[in-house]
Amino acid sequence: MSGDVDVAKKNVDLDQVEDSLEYAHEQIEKLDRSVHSLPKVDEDGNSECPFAEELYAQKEDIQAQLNGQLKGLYEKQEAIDAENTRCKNNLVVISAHERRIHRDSVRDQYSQAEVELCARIECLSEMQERVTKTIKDVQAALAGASEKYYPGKCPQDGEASGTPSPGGTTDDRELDDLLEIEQER
Amino acid sequence: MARRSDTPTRSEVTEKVEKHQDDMNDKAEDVEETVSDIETVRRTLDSLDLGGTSEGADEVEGAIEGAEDIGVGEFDEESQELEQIQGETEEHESELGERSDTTTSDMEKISDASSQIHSDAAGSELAKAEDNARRDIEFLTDQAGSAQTAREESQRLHTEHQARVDSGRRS
Repeated sequence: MSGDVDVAKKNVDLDQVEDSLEYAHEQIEKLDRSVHSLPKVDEDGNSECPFAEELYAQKEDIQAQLNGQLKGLYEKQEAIDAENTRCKNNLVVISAHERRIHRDSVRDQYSQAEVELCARIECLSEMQERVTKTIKDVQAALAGASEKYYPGKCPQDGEASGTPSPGGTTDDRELDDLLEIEQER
Repeated sequence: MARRSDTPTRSEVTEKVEKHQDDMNDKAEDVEETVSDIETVRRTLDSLDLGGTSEGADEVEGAIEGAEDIGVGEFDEESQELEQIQGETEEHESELGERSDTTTSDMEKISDASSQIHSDAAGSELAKAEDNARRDIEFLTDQAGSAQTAREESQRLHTEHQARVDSGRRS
C-alpha cells in the first residue's frame, strides 16, 4: 500500500507494533477528549469561550498527529502481511523438503522449524487483526473529529476523512467504515 | 601338502570378500542418503526467504542450519565406518596376496622336487599337488582382485560423496 518495498521485506518487530497500537489508542482518547471539550461556535466564529479558536486548533493538531499514526499503521499492516506471506511460503518449502529427508534426526529439525513458523504465523495473524481493528478505530475517531472544525478553516483533504489513502487511492473498506459511522449517527 | 588349521577355506575366503563388498555397498547407500539429506537441507536454506532478523526467523534458520550440522555429523560418522570396512578389505587383500606368494613359493618347491623324482607314482602326486597349488594361486589372485576392485570403487564413490558435502559447506 505504501509502496515501501524495504519495509515490507523486513521482519516485523512485534513489540514495536504493540507500542504503536498503544500510542494510537492514547491518541484516539486524546482526540476524543479534545472533540468533546470543543465549545460551540456559530457560523461567524462567535463563541462564549474566549479560547475557542485555540481549542479547535489543538484538536486539529491532535487530528493531524493521529492521521500520521494512521499512515504508520498502514505500513505496519503491510509489513505484517508481507512477513505472514513469507512465513507461509517458507512453511510450504520446509514441508515439501522435509518429505525428501531420509534421516529422522535431520527431519526432527524440520519439524522444529515448522513449529517455530506456525507460532510466528499465529502471532502475526493475531497482530494483524489488532492492527486492522485499531486502523478502524483511528478512522472512526478521525471521521468524528473532522465533523467539527472552526468556521472558515476547512479540514485538509485526507486528514478530514481519516483516509490518508496510501498509494493515492481511496480504499473501499474505509469508505464503508465511514458510511457505517454515518449510519450509526 | 597338509592344510594348516588356521588357513581359511575357499568358501570362507569368498564369503569374507563378499561380506566386505556387501558392507561397503550398504554403507555407501547410507552415505548416499545422508549426502542427499545434506543437499536437501542446503536447498531449503537457499529457498527460504527469512527477511532479516527477527525472533521467529532466527529460530527457523537455526533449526535448518542445525539439520545441516546433524547431516554432516552423520556423514562423518558413516565415513569413518566405511573407511574401517575399506581398511579391513585392504587388510584381507594383503592376506590373500601373502597366501598367494606362499603358495607360489610352495609350488616352486614342488616343481623342483618333481624334477628330481623318477617314480611315476610320486611324480603323479607331486604333479597333482602342483596343479592344486596353481589353482589356489589363481583363486587367491581372483579374490584379491575382486576385493581390490570393490574397495577402489567404494573409495572413488566416497571421494565423490565427500566432494558433494564439501562443495556446499557454509563458510
